[in-house]
Amino acid sequence: MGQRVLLAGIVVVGTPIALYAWLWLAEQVERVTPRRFRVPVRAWLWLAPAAVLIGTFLIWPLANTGWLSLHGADGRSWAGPANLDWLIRSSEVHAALRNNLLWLILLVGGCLALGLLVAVLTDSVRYEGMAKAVVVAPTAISFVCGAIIWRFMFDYQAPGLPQIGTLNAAWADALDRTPVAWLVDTRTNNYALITVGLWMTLGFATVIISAALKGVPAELTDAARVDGASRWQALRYVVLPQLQPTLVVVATLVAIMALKAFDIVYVMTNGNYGTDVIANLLYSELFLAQNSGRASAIALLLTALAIPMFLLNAYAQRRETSRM
Amino acid sequence: MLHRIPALARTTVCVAVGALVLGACGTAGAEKRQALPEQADSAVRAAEAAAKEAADGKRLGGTLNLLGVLSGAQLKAYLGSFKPFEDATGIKIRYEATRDVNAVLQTRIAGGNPPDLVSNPSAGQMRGLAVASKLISLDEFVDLDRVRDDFPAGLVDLGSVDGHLYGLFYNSAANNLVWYDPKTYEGPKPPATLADLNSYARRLAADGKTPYCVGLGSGAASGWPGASWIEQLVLTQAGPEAFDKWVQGKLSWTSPEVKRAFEAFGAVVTDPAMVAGGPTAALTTSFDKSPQGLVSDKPACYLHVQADFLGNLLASSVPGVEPVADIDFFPFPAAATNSDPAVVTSGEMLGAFKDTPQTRAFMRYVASPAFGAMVAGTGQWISANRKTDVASYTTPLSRKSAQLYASAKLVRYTAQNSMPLALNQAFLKAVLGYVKNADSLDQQLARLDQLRETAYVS
Repeated sequence: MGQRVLLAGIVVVGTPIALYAWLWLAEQVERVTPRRFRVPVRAWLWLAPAAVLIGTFLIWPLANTGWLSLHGADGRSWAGPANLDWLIRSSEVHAALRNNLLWLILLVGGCLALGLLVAVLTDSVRYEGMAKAVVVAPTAISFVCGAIIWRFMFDYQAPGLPQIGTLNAAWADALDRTPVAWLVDTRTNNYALITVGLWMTLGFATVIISAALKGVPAELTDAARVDGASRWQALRYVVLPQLQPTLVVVATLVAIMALKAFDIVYVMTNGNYGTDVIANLLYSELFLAQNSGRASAIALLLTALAIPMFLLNAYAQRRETSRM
Repeated sequence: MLHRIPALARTTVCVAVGALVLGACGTAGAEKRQALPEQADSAVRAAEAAAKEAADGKRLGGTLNLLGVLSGAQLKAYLGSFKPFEDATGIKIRYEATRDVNAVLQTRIAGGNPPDLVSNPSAGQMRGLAVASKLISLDEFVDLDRVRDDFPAGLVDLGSVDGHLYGLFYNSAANNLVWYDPKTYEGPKPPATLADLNSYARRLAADGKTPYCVGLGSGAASGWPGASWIEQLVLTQAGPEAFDKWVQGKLSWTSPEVKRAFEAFGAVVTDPAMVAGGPTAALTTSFDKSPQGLVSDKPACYLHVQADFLGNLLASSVPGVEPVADIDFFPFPAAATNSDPAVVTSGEMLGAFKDTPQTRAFMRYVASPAFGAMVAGTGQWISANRKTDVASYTTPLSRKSAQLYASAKLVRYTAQNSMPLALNQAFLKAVLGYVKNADSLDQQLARLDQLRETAYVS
């Protein structure tokens, strides 16, 4: 333990020192290089630390994953396209992808719509802070804990027994209906899980959208109102276009969360009763089947699905910066 | 099976969450627990002597990291059995609990940071670790002759690879006992055959009483109580040869032997007249809550199939429940009148990743009969060591299951924990899928067979 604290201390103090040393060294190198090479040398030397970090922690693992995906369960024997073939044919993968699509649509749609709604409705009202705190609070809880709490909410007892779960207490006891096994019934279980995801992510979306809303200059809406626009028209034609880059950023980030959804599903149903998602499948291939080949193939698929989101996100952010 | 105790795990998580969401977990924590039985002084002194001998009389000191799956009262009982070792050798045991021992172990091994020791309920995974030379062989420092003498041959085989010993069982649990409340049960005691038990259950159902309580919920391991019941039916109905072939992947899941076991299980659990609350309640109720129906004011059921821990669990979680008077068991009945009851067992296996004087002393201590008496003294489990005296068992129900275990002629280690992990997981999922949709049985079994083709390769 003492050693670890010492190590942490060395890293905290040592990293800036090492970086300064590197920059000083770069200056020395630059001094002795011929004038016409100075600019590229400086650029590359300054880039080098970041490039080394990205190479070690991103490029190399990614390449390794690609390499593993072409190999068998043990990661040594050559398997060629066998894992890719499995990925394309497996009905398990298809079912998981369908569920991920559902997650993607509902989580992104829900976060944008509700996040915008909360942000607009609470904007500059007296109790704004408190109202937003209610929506944001769940983001402070880990996904696993949130899922455990919601398991109590979705609890099911057989008809005739007192319902402990909040939802069934309202639905079955108060409204006198047959209780619903929310997490087992295939008509409700995926939506139940996504609701939990939405509850946990909405705060994040709200905070960002709300901040962007505050950034829209009041003169713009005032001018529109003076020109005779209704509140709704001002929102629709003046504020929304201003928010658009932010909404794209929020949408892409939430979409990535939807793609990598794991904790909620693992804790609440473990993918049973038709609720499996791709990340849970990755987990069971890697840790239960111990098939690093298939697990890597799934990881690559996940990366491939996330890349368009990254690009869209980068594009939106760049456009937003260029506007300022 | 002593390794799955979500109620306790839930309480710990709730403590962490509690600060944020008050009241969400109120019901889970408010259980009155019976105190753990005290270990006899003489047993503790004998165990200390055994520990001293295991450490060659030296006070070694230091710490041992032990990775395991227990929590709550069971963990307390478990660690109590190592107290004499800690006192005699000065070695501190640091227990790290996880509900996901497979993932944690693999990550830590891959990261070059394995624990010193592991206490693992899956003999199948321990075998995999031994084959991959991750576990150290115990041959050099544990008295093998004595181990072969003291432990049942089947358990020594499970802990051995190519004739080398890698793991020793901490305990042995008798699974699939049939539990009942003597005040409400009116059937034959014990039923001579499975058919007798079934006809009593049918009679209850005809009277409009649901005979069974079933709870399959157990977090990510949901389904294991059903899988346990099914493997008992394979052993009882189809015999040990079929059981062994099935576990080794040489008997197909679609074979009549295995399918008949699923169907016999399904005849209870997929029939709303046979199981309290119907199949949906069986799926959603956790395994530790469902047996409370046996002892509720108006009984929800009259029979419950569960391992030997159940009596003590009920006594410690439901106020006013006395072992034997309010909750008792008989062994899972045999298929025919002239055959012996078959007992399926499970248990935690201890193995070491690092060869140090401390781990050597620890494993030697675990092999000693004095340690077996400490395990028995916890009142929770049957010691895996055959030399353990029946008098060492501190609770009447654990004494009774120990006697059953010692006298049983047909004993097999649980199938689900001997299978490759992927197949184990798929087995549990198939149980849930079958209970959810009784028509899907053939489809579920065919999928398991498909997985069987590849699962045994590594």
